[in-house]
Amino acid sequence: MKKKLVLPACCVIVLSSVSPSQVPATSIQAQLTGKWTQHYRGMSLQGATLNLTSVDSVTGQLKGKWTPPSGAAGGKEFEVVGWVSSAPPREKLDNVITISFSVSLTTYGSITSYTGYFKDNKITVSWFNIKPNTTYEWDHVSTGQDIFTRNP
Amino acid sequence: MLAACMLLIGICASSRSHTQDISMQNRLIGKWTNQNEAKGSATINITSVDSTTGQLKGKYSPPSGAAAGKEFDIVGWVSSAPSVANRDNVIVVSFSVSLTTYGSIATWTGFLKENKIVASSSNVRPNSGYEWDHITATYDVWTKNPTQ
Repeated sequence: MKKKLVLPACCVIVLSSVSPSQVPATSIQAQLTGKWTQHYRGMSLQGATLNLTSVDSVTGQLKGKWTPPSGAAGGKEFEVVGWVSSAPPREKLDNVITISFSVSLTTYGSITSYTGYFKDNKITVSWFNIKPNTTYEWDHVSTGQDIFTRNP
Repeated sequence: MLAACMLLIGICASSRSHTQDISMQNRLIGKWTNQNEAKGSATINITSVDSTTGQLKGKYSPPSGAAAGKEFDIVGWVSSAPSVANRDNVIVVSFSVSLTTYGSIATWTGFLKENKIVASSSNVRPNSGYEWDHITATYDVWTKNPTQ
């Protein structure tokens, strides 16, 4: 009787040790794919819409679309590429899912990159925007911080 | 005569924009070294630039640490706009790498000018002592390696 119980018990242990590493990968994809709205920090301007369409479960590469809210590019869709990553949570540290994505706004010839983290159902990022034509050499790069919230 | 002129202008305009695309690709494709001595000499190898979308791809090799000697995929963009008189005109570039060894992601955003890529960089790490300490920033200058 004892022997009969040992094998199923071992199977349960094996299944339990496999599923924790698989669940987060699926969970990250489920948590990130979909539409997000950009919120500018310190400004009341309407933000862009980010539609994350895929996250590769092996490489972490993400893809999606970016829709600016206004201006000459308002309403148009631009391709988004980037990465999602993580590491095992560490005790007494602040643990997050890391994320970065960028968009080439071909209407203007500018590029914006967003680098930050996913935590508490929000994406908090630092961004850099680079413009091709400026009055001064030191004026090409602008920077700031944004928060993205998931659309209902 | 008018048709011939239009055709000639069309060919010239077409070949000029095509040459600019090829020129941009030629200027970017290849190996670049990060001159930021504090972090050591990381290298990137830009292997392709899509002439339609401007999407770039390549490899990143970290200078030191647990990931040294490994290669990581990079993705990003190259773009530009017609030069404007009395302005500082550059080719804009951005690329990022997921350093899976650490779970961190680094991004460089800047411009190509005078054969150098001058870029602001961000690095985000998954585990840090404080919530405000996940993202760090600096800037780097990349120079193109001599072709061998």
